[in-house]
Amino acid sequence: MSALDRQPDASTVAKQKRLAAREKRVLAGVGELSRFLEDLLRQGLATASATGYRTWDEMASRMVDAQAPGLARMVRDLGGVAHAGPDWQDNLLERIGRLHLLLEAYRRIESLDDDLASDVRSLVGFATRRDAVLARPAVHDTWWVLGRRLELQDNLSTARCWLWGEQTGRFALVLSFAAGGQPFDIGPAPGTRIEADLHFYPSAVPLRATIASSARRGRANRERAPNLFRSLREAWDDYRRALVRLPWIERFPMTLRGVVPSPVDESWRLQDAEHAIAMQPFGRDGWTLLAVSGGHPVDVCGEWNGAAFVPFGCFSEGGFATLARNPLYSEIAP
Amino acid sequence: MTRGTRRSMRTTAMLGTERVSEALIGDGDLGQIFVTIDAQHPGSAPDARASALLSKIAATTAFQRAGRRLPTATQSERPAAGPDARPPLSRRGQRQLATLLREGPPTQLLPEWLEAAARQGVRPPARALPALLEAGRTQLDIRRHVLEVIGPRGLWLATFNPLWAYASEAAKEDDTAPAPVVLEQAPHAERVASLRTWRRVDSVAARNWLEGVLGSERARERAALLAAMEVSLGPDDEPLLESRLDDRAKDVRTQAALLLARLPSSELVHRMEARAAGHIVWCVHPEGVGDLAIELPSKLDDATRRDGVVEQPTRRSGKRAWWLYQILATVPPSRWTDRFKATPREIVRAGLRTDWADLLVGAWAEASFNHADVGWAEALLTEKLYHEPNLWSGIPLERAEPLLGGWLRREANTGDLSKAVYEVRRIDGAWSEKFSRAVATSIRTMLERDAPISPGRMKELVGVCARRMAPGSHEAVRDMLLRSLEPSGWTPLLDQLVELVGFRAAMLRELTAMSDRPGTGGLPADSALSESGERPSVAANERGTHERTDE
Repeated sequence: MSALDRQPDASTVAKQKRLAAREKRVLAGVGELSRFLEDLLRQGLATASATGYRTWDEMASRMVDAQAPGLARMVRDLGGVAHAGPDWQDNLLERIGRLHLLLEAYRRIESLDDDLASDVRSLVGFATRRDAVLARPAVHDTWWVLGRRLELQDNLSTARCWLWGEQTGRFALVLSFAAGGQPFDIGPAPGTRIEADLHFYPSAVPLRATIASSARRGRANRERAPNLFRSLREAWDDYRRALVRLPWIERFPMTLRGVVPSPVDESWRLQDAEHAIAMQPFGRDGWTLLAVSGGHPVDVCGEWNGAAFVPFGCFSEGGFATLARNPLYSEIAP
Repeated sequence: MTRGTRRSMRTTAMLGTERVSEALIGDGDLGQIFVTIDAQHPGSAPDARASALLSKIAATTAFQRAGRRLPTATQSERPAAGPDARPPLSRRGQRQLATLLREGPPTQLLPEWLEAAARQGVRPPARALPALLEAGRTQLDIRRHVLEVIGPRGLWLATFNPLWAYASEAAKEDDTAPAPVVLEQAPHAERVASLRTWRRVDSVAARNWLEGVLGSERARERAALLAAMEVSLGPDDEPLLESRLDDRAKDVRTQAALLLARLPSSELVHRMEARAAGHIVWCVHPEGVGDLAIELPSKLDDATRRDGVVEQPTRRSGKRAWWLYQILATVPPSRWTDRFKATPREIVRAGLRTDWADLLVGAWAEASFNHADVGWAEALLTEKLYHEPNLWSGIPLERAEPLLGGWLRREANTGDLSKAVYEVRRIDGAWSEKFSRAVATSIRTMLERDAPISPGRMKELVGVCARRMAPGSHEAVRDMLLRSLEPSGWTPLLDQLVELVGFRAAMLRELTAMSDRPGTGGLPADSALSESGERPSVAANERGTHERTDE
């Protein structure tokens, strides 16, 4: 018994040692990245960005070496933004601003509250262990599956699935990953409801969650939940309030009540009686949404991606119409 | 934050603090934060200002993102779509339609679905409308049915996308006659289209207008406008067309002759008949068998030329044969039946015995097609002259089926069926159950005989059958091709055939069931739309007129 007790102790000690070593390396990486950004602004972004991807890619590799994959990703994205599109200067500044804020936050992580500190650690690249998440209290509810998007990038398949709890009124984002074309569990089907225990990842704005294995199979949604949809103004204010708590939010769920889609030049817009919001539908979704609405207000769910609203589904003709289907993956019509 | 602050922040960041020395100041709350930041990075060295700038960018970004306001709504200039009282497609029907739209060309069942949906007056789900409009844009042959099926919502949707303009144009075409002023000023293509519309609506007024302007138009324009006369063409149009046989431009003369040739009572057709009568003579033998004596014209006179006969052959033939061909092709074949007091079959058989069999049969086939003479087309086809594709398209399916059945049986016993089925494909409409079984029997005969047929041909054959066999024959076809035939390399293809016919049967069942339901959808989304109480008549007119007996 005592031998068994000691063994986990020994491995815990080793683990803590490894973690301490990694934190040291990450902190060094954060310092290096800060100096790099300072140098860029001293010399001017026009000169740095003129040298193209290489500057950014090299720095991103340094961050991988520093065991901060989150930072590496953000730096690589900077390289993609530089010189891309007419607003690249503003885009680049905005991203640099967010990155700098993260570096400063990491430096002062001891002074942040636990939830925000978890966000900062995970943004820098420390993975949160699933068993640690499952150890957190469960939130039981009937979860509506609002939409699902499958993406394939850098040989990694990602399924992003937005849920909403009927009783709690909470949104949840369930992510699943798989390497390359490997088959994987892409989560529950849009337009259904599941009875499930969800465990949320620690965060100042808890959205990401994992489904405990006890989840039951989904049932199709025929009716709409009375309090699921909100006015454009309310949804937008939720988003802004969330940003105040967590300035690095990239995607945010929105369920919009009574909005009318319309094509504007080459892009799309959604509006209710008071406000309008830019919309970036996938593929032919804009036309589908316009057809379903017929110019009348419809209830639409989707996510704000930082620049525009991306519709994932809407209620029409007594049922849920799934949008954002990915042609890469064949899905069965609801 | 003012625009000025943002601009100078951008400039400083782009050029670098080494080059831009002035400090960045903000106003309001952000200005206060800037002051705090400057206090944390004292000094005017480029390094210190660079790190201050970074913090200011970070603060500004967070500040702006959380403070961003939504744009205000603008008044929509377009009214919402009107109500649609047609009964909605069932859920199973919606899934079938989704399959059809997703799988696209390989199965090619969409045309049949559209036709049945148009006939039954079923409302497709709104979310299928973009795909239906796309199908109508890219596939001209199904456009008419797409327009019938999409309903008011689809027409409304089409107005937003320039690629779908065809839908709004077609909807307009039906009821508005263009003003003559518009016609005179419009660009070429539009004028012709408008004149066609006008002919449909008021053929006399359109002709009078055309008569007035023809003198002042250029040759190309005259020919194009005159061609629009084919819409609602009638005996009253003859004087105008006859006068154009003397037009200065050859294209206009040809066009006028073409149109006159389609009027059986026209002087031109009578003149052609008189000309032909001199060259084709019926002689009855004592035993009652008729024979044809043919004499080719020796020269082409100006009067014949004026009636549109062209001197130089456009097909491989001698000049004189070519002249006779053109003359004969203009004469309604029924004139020969009247003149010779003989049946079409007797005349065709006699023609085949002459040295000019190809000439005669070709010209008669063309004339049968031009004058829609089914009796003659049938006679020509009965004599095994299957190479004239136009003929098949002129014959109603129920009259063609017995002819084809016999042909298929002969082919199945001696060759492969692909050529015959290829011809059958040209006939519009769904096959009857009896004919479908006959085709299945022939396929079985062919396969039992191990007839040499290439996989490509076989695939084509199966494809045609899968689309055309009567859904009601599904079980008979399955029994014949799968149950009672030894499994072979063809079995997967035959499986596919049977499965597709089965899918069509289910699809049509779903659509037919619709018409028995009451007109209102009864679903929440629909009742909200039909509040105005208006009932469009899209469906009402369609029902009944297209009814088929074989379903």
